[in-house]
Amino acid sequence: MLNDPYLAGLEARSIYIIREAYWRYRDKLAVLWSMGKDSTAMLHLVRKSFLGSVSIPVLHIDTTYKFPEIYRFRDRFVKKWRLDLIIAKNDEAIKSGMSPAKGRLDCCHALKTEALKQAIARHGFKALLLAIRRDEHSIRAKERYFSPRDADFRWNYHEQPLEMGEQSFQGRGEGQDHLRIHPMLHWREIDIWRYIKAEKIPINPLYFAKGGKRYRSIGCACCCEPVESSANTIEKVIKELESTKIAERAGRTQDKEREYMMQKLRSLGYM
Amino acid sequence: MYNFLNIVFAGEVDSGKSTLLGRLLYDTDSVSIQAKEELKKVCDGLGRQVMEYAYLLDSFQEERAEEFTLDTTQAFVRAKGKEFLLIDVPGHKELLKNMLTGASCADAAVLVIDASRSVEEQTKRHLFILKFLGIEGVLVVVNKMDLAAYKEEAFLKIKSECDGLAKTVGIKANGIIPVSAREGENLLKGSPKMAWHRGPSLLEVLGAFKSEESAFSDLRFPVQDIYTAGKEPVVVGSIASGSVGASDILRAVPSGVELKVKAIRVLSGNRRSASAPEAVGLLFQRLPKEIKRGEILYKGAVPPVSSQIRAKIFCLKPFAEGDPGLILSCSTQEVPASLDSIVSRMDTSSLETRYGGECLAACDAAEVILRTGAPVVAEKYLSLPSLGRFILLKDAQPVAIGFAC
Repeated sequence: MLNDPYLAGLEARSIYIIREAYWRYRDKLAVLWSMGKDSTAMLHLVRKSFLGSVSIPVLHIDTTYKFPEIYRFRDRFVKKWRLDLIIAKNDEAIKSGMSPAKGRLDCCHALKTEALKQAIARHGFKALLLAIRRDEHSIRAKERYFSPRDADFRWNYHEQPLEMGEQSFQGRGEGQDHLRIHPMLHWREIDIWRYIKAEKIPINPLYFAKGGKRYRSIGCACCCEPVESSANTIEKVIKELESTKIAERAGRTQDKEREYMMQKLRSLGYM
Repeated sequence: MYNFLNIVFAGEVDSGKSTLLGRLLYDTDSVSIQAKEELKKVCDGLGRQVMEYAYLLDSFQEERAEEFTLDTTQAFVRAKGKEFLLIDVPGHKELLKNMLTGASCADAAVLVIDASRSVEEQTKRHLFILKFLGIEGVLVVVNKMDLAAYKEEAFLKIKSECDGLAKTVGIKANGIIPVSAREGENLLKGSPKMAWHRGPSLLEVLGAFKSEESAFSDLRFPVQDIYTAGKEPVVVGSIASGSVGASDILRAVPSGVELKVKAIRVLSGNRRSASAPEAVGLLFQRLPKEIKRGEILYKGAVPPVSSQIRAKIFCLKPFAEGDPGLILSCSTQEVPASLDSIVSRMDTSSLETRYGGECLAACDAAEVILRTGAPVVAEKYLSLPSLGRFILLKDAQPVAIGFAC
């Protein structure tokens, strides 16, 4: 059991949300896993929610531009946790040579959002668990735990549903293509690391400093830069986060290409 | 331990809630270098002559261009060894749903009032909602003192209006202080421009806020779902209060059945005991068929169960006596309901009470009698909010929030 009552509270709220999602959607629910720290912590919470097994499909949106370490990590834990892994790839866009050189917004949209659209259509998913957090980005801070998307994947942020704490009343409405469910919304970056430490959750070595640099947020290899750091253990990462003034996603180039990039991407259905 | 308070900043449109929050974030250095750089860039891009601290919260393009808050947001502040989660909410009457979403997460509140105006409609309504949500610790902040030339008279005028309002609403204000968010006066430390104010600064007051621990200690375990482990059924849920032991005898409401715990299951195997707020799985010697989602397992005092509830509600949409298709949702319980009668209703813009009538309008607060299609468990709201608060839905949309009284 967690000794830290604060982390215990964060965990209980997330598990409650995951179980609500499963109650409402059963086999129409999937969990998105990018093998990063947040979605790996979420996968751990999914395992806890279902008391050991992962009863829902695990979806990896593969842009083919990920780090080799990420693919290795994926394949190792797919076996260990006996995951029902679905790899979503926009083959057509990849074949026609889509890359960040053609514009980052277009690339993110084609290889992530479109790939997700295809996977949802193919498997008939009605709800997805995603590990976004409020403190990552001020646009994500505006999200709800349960957030409906229409057939065009649009996020209608002008008309977001009522939520009371972790109680949501969304998901029965018409005109909704699928529901985005965000069980980690209330976690901070430092909470994720404290939880990884407390629960001994396996984590990708890319997060630890090598040669004076480490990745704080991991996306595609071509679009993310490591930050200066000497934190080569979990303890040192936590120590670093206690005082850093550098934004978590400072190394993520797609956020910075133009103003309101995150809002544009998200309103088009980006994670 | 880093357990901290969630504080909502409520108040009228344009009273400067987002600016106040943004300034607190900025001055306490709780935002990243990149966020500060982006703020500067956006202000320059929009041709703003001054730093628009509100943009740290108002992140949507339209919020910044039109200078209003569309939806609630949250941000963490770290200062003087304390941490807070600050919640911004919109002031517009049309956006009350978003205000409630934000305020429902709060332990304490700041009510922001413009020093150059007076106590207006949304100030009254927001204060009423804070009281309705059970948030007793409300600090009044008289903002924009720069527009009132930092004069004590302006502050005293608002203060006397607030004293009257607090009395009408029945809430004990937790102090009142003057600030200027835009100029950063009296936020982190006292302001020489307002030497007449001898009290502490905003941050000092917030730092002294304390959250109240619930005194409720009996086990309440709302059944969320039933899974299977191996071939055995496992009852899953989050412990709302109290604790459960590995050989406890529990009872369930509304069904009234008795159950003997065989094991408490978590990821890593079985546990001897578990307590709130943990999410666990319970295995029983024998699981009666009555146990399903919505049953409340308990120890100690029998929870109140009824299919006729006298309740206090706040309306988001109009509805009327006899309207078909209402659903009452409380914790994991969900039952058909109907509005039996209206005891009294209050217009929350004027705070005037009326009696009788058959219809409720949006923004009405009312005391009503509800009938439910099956018995419902509702605890006293203030002792156990998660099992005391309910929502009324009509055509899958929330029409009111409320609690049993």
